Amino acid sequence: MDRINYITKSISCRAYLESFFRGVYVLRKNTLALVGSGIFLSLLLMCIFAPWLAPYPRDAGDAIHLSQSFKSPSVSHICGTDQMGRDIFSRIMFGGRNTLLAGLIIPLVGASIGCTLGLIAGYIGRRIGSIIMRITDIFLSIPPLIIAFLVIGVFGPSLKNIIIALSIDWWPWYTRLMHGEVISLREETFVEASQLLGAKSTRTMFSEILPNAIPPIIVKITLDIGYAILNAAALGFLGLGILPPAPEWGLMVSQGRLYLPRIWWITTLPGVFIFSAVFSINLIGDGLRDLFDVEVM
Amino acid sequence: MTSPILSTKNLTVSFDTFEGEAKVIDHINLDVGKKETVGLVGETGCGKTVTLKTILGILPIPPGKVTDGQILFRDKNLLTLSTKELCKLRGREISLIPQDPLVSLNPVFTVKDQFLDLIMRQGEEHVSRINYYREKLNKKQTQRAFEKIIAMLQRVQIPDSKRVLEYYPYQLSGGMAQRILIAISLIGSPQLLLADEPTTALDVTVQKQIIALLKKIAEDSNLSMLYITHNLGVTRKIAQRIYIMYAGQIVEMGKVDEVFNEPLHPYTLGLINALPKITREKFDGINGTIPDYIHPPKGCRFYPRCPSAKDSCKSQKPVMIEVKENHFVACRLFRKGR
Amino acid sequence: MRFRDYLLRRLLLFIPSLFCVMVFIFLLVRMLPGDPARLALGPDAPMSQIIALRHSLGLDKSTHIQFLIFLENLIHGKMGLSLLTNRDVYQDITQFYPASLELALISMSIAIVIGIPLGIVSGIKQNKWIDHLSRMVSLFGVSIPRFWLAIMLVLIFSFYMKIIPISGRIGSGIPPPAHITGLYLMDSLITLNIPAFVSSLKHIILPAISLSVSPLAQIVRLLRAGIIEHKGAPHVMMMKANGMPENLINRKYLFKISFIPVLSIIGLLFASIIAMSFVVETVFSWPGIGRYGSNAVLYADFNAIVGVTIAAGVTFIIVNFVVDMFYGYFDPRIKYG
Repeated sequence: MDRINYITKSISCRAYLESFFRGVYVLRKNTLALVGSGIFLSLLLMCIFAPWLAPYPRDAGDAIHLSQSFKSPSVSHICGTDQMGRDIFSRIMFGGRNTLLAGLIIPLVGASIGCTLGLIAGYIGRRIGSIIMRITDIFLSIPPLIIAFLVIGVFGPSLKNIIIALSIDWWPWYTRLMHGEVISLREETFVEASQLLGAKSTRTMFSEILPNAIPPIIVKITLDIGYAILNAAALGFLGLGILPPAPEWGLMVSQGRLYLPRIWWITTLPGVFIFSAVFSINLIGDGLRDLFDVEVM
Repeated sequence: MTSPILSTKNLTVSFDTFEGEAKVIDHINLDVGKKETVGLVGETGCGKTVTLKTILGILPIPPGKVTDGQILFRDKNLLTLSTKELCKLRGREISLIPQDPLVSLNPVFTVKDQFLDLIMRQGEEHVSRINYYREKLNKKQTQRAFEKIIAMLQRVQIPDSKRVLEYYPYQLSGGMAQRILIAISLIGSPQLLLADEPTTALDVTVQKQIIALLKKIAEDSNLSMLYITHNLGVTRKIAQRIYIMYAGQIVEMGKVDEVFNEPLHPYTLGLINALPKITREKFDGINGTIPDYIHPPKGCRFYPRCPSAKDSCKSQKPVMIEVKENHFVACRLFRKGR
Repeated sequence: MRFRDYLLRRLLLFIPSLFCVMVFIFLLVRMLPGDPARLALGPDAPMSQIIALRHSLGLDKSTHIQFLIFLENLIHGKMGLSLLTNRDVYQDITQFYPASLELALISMSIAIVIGIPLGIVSGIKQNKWIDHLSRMVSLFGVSIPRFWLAIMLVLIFSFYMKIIPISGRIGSGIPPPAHITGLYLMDSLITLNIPAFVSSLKHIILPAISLSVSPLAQIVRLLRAGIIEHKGAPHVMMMKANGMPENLINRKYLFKISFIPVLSIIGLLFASIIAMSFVVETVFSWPGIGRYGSNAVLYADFNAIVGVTIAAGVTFIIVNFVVDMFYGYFDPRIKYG
């Protein structure tokens, strides 16, 4: 018995490794996705290492240098300075930590909750399944973002609340996606085989169905990172996110509006970064979608 | 013999794929005479459907390409015709009966919609929006077309044709849908029918009816038909002459009864022996699989699977030889007249 | 016959969804920490006033009864006072709703009218230059932050080129057209008020473009994917082989079957337009629900928040219902199946 287990495990390990390498190979053929990964990774690294890389790290806090205010982009201040004389590039680097963090966490949290619920609803079905899907439908019948507005309206603006609010907004989509996947996978013969061999429900759920349902979920999570960044920035723009003087890309865009059109760099440049982040992650997501050959939006 | 209505000469078609150029059809010569039904038999993947698509000019041109040969329809080379001229031919001179009837009709439109549009706009390359709506509103024309459709549906033995027209494809049975498709293919009064395995997706009882129907129609209207199938038994019922195709090459050709009674090519032999017969207990298949089209064998493409292969078969391509009167084979085991 | 049943079924689901939305909103707002009466009156108000206000607002009754009072008030058009405008929220919403509706409809129309042909062409001429161009444009469209785009457009067209006015719904010198539908473009066309029409058009074009870019991109992508998936289908081959003109196949037959997945997200796209209108309206000072709502959230004007949520929720449900009706046309299998 042990020998069979060992052989099975080593075959499946090798299979995983093979598919991983094949994945990397295909990804490499897809230059756009590679470019996207490059851009996104550099943005991420730039923001993670902001405390060491930023030219004026204290400008991301509450430093004020009024004598330097409104300087246009130059060598010493790549993105210029804002109304308080703070270096915008440094603020962008630190602000990215907030925006990108939100963008990464929200889909992951939403997916964890949503997929678990979807898995249960799809696999176990019956009463619990119906109830879960009904609740999901109710959440889905409210326009997106409105829930987030409500939650923030109730609990007040802050970065943490943005993440919570948007995660609450997000999970129903994962439940529905997962539910659909599980329903169609449930009928496959390998699931039947697993059940006949006596596996418990949880085991079948997690080791048979889940790995096959994962590809669309991964694609969706990747694409959702982009949407989450956009939404988090939008909420920040409205002043519903992290509060000044802390930097956040959406907030910076909004703060710079007062000084348009002459002082254009405060508003324009953070937006360029938002766009680059979302654009690059969409490239990655598209590449993944082609790789897994999946039709997720 | 009068000149055939359809004649391919040395037709060679390749596909550009990631791994290389797949030489799917290799110098085939096919003839379909007037008022004649010719069967093209071969296993799945041997290039039968590609042949049909190339004749009609609906092969997707990248990645496909015709690298050699001609397709003569009534002595005109179809490969040299412009799209406009090809469009005039389709449906009106040559038409297609597709393979799986239930997926060959657009599922979100009624039969009537599809049929009506086809009959009223057949043969045009490009419909302008104005003309389309103007003709649609022309009640008289629509009514005339409608009556033609009803008549044709009755000819293919569909009872209650008015009701059937209002159906959506998913409400039809396989046999019914195939009859409709036959009607569609006949509505333009073509001279040549290309039948792409029309009964493969149907139940056996329905198969019989459809084959009988096709035979009757071909006889009544003096049509030529190129009937493609992988089912030898069907060919015997409907065709007068038969071509055996393997891996993009024609390996044997002759009158149906002759080929059946005296199969020459080892592949044909294998096919016939593979048919389960009630009188025999065991039956044989043919070992092996079809070759890789990207790197096909230099000599005979059947060489790896041939039980009677000689060494020379590996390196030299066999040529089509007339072994008996009107019975040709492409195999190095034979010589002219023997 | 069966189509009517299908519609009836969708209609019957409509009412419980509406009800659930109300319950959900009600519960969520009731979850807020703090005492609404105290918040309304301020921290210095004496206890007696607070108790009186709580009583008059019905806050001392049980939750069920509060909910029924809530519904009753809703039907009578009383949604509570807005902190910012000091009017009943119902009046605020009825005043601002048409502006948002007009903006949303125009944005959606732009997305559909440009997105569909672009998607079809992109799918049919796969990998030709126009396909690559539209794919790039789509990718840009999906990735661009709509509020930032709005600001950029204002910068270019209002400040630098000075051809489009900066904000508002209609020029300050021009009186709004007669109130028939509340939609300025429509009303000015109906009353043949050309100056009002031109002015409204100039004002709505930039916000509408900002909102439409992302839905347009998604329509193009999805439609293109659908067309590519179906263009090799047996039924397309059958029609081509039997002589149907190719442009008829593409525009009518291929299109309809490829459009079905797009239809299923149109409701969502409309919802994203509603959601993003909160920011875009702020940028353009567009007098709509979005700007009203985002102010409400910022200043914790709870009645207004609830009002806006209800308005948005109801709109969404109606839009979904309309889309469901179209679904029956595009996919007959739903009608009868």
